[in-house]
Amino acid sequence: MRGTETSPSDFFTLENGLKVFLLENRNLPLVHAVVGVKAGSRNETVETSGLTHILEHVILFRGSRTRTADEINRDIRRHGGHFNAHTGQDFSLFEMTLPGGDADFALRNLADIVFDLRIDREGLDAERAVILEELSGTEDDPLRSALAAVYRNLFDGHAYSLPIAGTREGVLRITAEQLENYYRTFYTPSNAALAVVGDFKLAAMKGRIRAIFGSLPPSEAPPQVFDPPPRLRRDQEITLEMDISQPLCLLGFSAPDCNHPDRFAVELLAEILGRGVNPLLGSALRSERRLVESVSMLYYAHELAGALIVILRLDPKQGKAGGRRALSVLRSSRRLNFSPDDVYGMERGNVFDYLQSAKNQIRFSSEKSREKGMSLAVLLVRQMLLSRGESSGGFLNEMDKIKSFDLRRAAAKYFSSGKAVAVYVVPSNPERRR
Amino acid sequence: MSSARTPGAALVAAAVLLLGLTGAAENHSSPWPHPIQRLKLDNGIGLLYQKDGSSALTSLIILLRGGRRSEPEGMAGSAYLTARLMLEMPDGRSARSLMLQASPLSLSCWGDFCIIEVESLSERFEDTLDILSRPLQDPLFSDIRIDSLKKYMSHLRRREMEEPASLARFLCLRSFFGAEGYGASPYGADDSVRALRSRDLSRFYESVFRTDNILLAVISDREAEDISSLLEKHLQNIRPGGPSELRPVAVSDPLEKNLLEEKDTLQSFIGAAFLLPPLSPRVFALAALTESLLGKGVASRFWSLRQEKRLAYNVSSNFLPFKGAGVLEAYLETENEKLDEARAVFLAVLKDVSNAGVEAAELEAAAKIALTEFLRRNEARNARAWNMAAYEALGLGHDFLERISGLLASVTVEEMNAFLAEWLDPARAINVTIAGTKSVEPVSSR
Repeated sequence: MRGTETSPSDFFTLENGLKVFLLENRNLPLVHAVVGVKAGSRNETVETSGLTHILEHVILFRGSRTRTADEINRDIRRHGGHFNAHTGQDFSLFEMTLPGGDADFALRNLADIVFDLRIDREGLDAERAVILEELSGTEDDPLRSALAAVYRNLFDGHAYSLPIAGTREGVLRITAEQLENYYRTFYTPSNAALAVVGDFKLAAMKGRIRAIFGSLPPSEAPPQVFDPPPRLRRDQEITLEMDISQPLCLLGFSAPDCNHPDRFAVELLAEILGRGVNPLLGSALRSERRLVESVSMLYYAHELAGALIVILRLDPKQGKAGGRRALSVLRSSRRLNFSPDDVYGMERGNVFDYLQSAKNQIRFSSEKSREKGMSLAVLLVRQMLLSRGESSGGFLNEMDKIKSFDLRRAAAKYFSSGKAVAVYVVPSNPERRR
Repeated sequence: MSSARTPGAALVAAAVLLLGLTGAAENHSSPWPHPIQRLKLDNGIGLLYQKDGSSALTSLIILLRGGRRSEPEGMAGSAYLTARLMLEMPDGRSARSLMLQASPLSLSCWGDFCIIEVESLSERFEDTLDILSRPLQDPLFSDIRIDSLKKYMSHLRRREMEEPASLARFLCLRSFFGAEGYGASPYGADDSVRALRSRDLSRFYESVFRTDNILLAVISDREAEDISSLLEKHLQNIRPGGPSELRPVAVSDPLEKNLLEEKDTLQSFIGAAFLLPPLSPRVFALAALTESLLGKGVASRFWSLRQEKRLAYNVSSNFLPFKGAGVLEAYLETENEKLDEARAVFLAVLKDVSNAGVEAAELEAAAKIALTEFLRRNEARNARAWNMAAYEALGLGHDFLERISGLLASVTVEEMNAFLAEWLDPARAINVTIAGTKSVEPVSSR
């Protein structure tokens, strides 16, 4: 790789079980620190839906045992800190970015806020009200509503079907005692990982980490054993009506989990069909009639299962035709030629090398992921919490091994044989136009 | 508490803004290890270059000084449509070659300029440039392509009107600047776009795509000489010439300052927008500080609406820099039944900031938050190259990116409070409400 600076890094585990990854990057005077805790919406039930998300809010905004929320917020602001958190299906993330000189402050705060929480009824009620606002915002958003509907149906009967932010019923029902028990069970160093990326010296940072996080008491989190989601038995079509003028369609398919060997082929398949400069699915849907305005594809690889989500912005005059045609194209994608290697003789010149194009795109994305310290820190935490480390080479090496045959096999397995969830979001009042 | 509430202080601040005088001394230390270089290609096109070896990527920004403000009367949308045609590959072979490079292209049109963004693996930069330079320098103004892009723009317009924050921004800009120029949607209006013909677009292209009207910005792990020679080789057919004509910025004091829309949603949107003075480095710093103290980060002024009053999940403020006059927008989203209470508290916060100003500690914290946000936004090289070019085109200087830290720290409490008193005066605001009409279904709780 030409002209690329190397970044010193280190991975180690503290005696209390906390996994740590440090990556020195002196390009900007910022330090990004992320703590990930392996507890997410998969640890919930219908009755406790929203528990992890409420806890994330309480941790983020309601103070620790030694400082009030107001004190913490003012401290963070005084140091110019950016502070945020996210809840996912498998884990929760707590992120902090500060100017490089304030690395010590960032780490002490993360340790205090995440691992020394004070939970009280008042703080819980306050965040409950804010979360109900957040839920309304999600329900008003066509894309997020459609995505929630895809997950609800694709993973029906499994905790992955529950909305990450929770249901209104769940959010109103959860008690401070439940929150406290959940926190004590899962928010332990051995069930967490820390990544720090940015402007620091590796050796000095290692010492700081040991001093700040090494003193957290060890405590074993219970083993987390889950069944994978059941297979979707039949195709589903759901229609949501909202105050929009641009109809939307999301198609959801089951996909391999984040440690499954098929994940590399599926990643490339998603690139070819629904991402990149001119995705194949987009061309197919615009070649005859203009059925869609835009196409994109996401691959969410969770620990227990994955989801391939196709997002189509439909032409308002074409109804659901774009979604149905997309489904048909994807079902038959196993027969596509992805590379000149798929044909013989003179035909080779007529087949575009989608496979190589996708590999180039993934190389580009991989380089790009190194540019933003926080994104990189999040990737590292995710890797520490979820990866079983079963692949023999690095991510790009594994990608390079994929052949066109692997893509067709993956297309057959996940698009042709698998059932799909189609969610349409259509205008509730088609006559109303600005 | 501030003592800068006197007319005298406001006048001093106004003079500082108008004359571009600086307050306290600026600290010029750049946060980046490599400086921004200002270069010129053989054909006279300006190039801003910064070395960055942290990844093997090259980001190229092609800035055309021909944004909404340059669009001829009645032709809103022509800047976007013309620039979009410049990215249309002339044939299938070129399109496939571009796909193979896996180099993403994107386009955005703003008040003062349009920006074409190109990213590629550095080893593929020349091939990407070779493919892209052909339509850029010789676009095809075919009716079929134009009609197809007009349909796409109609889709983009619909999306712009659908999301409350972007709808509110559109309404405010239109109120301040009218239906054209800064006030127009980048994607035009149904009528104006329908009326655009290929000859209009060709004429617009001829006037805008000229050497003196283009600014390039590159951040790469490849050396400056290497990049310059590639750009010279592939962009040698651009016509020489001077800047396109800019329409004067017409700012009106809108008669109707309270705009109301309805939407069938669970949440209502409450926003306010303030017109700011013509852009200068000082105004930029003051506006960035205002954005920060109102709605960026924890413990900002709007934070209490979320944290203590539980009136909102989403609170924000944004500074929109235009060369002729900037705009500061602030907003929150709240459940419909809290609309009246939230609006009252929201407006009271704005009034208090304008009337009472800030103290030194709050200003210092706002400057730190603003700087962290600024550095975060400029970590990725495409965003940084974008800003390098935009700041130069806005008249802030090619090295503004390196100077912002010193500028933010140099703003005094008196200067800040004079700015807030004058420009955040509630009487000057446009208030937007997008009232939701849907109710939350009752749920049974224990």
